[in-house]
Amino acid sequence: MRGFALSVSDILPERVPERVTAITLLSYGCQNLCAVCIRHDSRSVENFVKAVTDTCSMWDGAIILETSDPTALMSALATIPDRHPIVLGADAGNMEMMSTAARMFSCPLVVSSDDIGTLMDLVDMASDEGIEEVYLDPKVRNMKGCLESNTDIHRLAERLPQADHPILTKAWSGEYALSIAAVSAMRYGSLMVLDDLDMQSCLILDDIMNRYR
Amino acid sequence: MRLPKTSRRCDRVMDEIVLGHGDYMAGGSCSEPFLDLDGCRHRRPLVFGNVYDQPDNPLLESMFSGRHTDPVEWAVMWKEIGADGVQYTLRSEGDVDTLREIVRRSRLPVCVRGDSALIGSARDSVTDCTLILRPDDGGIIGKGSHLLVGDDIRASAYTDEDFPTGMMDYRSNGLQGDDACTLPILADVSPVWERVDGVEPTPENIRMISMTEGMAALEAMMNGADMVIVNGPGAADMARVYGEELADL
Repeated sequence: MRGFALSVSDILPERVPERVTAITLLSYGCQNLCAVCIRHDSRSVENFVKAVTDTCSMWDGAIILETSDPTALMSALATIPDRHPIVLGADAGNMEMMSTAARMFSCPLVVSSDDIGTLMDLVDMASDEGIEEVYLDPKVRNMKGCLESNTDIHRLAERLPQADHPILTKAWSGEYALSIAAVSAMRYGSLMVLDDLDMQSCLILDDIMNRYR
Repeated sequence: MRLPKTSRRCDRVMDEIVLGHGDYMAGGSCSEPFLDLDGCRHRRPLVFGNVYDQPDNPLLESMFSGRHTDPVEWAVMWKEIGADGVQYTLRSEGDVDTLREIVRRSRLPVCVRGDSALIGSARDSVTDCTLILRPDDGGIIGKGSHLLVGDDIRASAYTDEDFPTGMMDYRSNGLQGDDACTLPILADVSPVWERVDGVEPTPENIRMISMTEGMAALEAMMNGADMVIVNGPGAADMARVYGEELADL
């Protein structure tokens, strides 16, 4: 998948429908706004499951579930067994349980680490688990880090099959998030997850992603 | 996991130029833009602000607090807000006294753009600093002690069909040993403003054009521009901050 996602937080579940509606409206003008990411900020399994089910009832596009809690992940996946969302939140500390959950529901898995060597180890573990689709999240903190990490992974992919997976970039909101996502789009990034962007910024990112396919 | 090395260092270095009164330099790159992995040079691209002899866009009024009606004041304002240089764009019979005043009062490097007859006058009127001469009509003129786009600098504009990939290809070829591709690159992203011809100067429109132009500047820098020309102060600010971060300054 190539495109970008905007996030929905589960911290106020009653606001989720309003937020998904806003993202849906933004997506009409942006062909690359292809996914909604549901973020497990509340630490409540119940909130997360409700946010996931509400979002999935309103949004037909791709879904990303962002949580590092395998229990919350399993509960949410069980409510949407046919959606096969991308699972974001697997790292060296929870890899085994997160990859088991992703495999059980045939979901793509994002592996995250700011150390590229560790990232490659996590890819090996995901492959051993039988995960078919893996994304790499080098956990970039800024534009410079994004440029260096994405280029490094892109070059490694010529020699290491573990690096030959699409790169996911997480950014936050506003102008700086747009710049990180833009740098990623210009340098081999496939999927950008942003907390929020306004319509103008969405259009700018959409234009950049169209020109760097 | 132990990883193979991915660094791709080049033996070649792109040409370097000295501008203004000898206090500004551009070019001299030795790697893909901003890439520490390849031992990049930690130098931020220079940001030039446009000054027109005949400004006609209503968005300029609020962006420059009305100082855009006087080219010299406008150039001084660019200096005050942190630009590294000024492009003086002549759309009419530009007067050389104004150019001299821009050079004298701003003390910034100046690029002069216009038809070759106007550029010829500009060249002869300024002798105490190094101008960038940018003739629109490609007319061949003597450059004197100045730098001429085409001879000393490669120019690229946002409206070019190969923008920005042409810049990246040019720089890559130069670093791989192509002697015809060694010039520093000047990228003009101000044509982005053609998108807002005739729009009302509302805060939303000003923000929109600033963001669009700032992102175009980022794109130019990511693809190898050593100098970037912008119209708006918001874009200039973004370009400078992004350049500093990417160059790790």
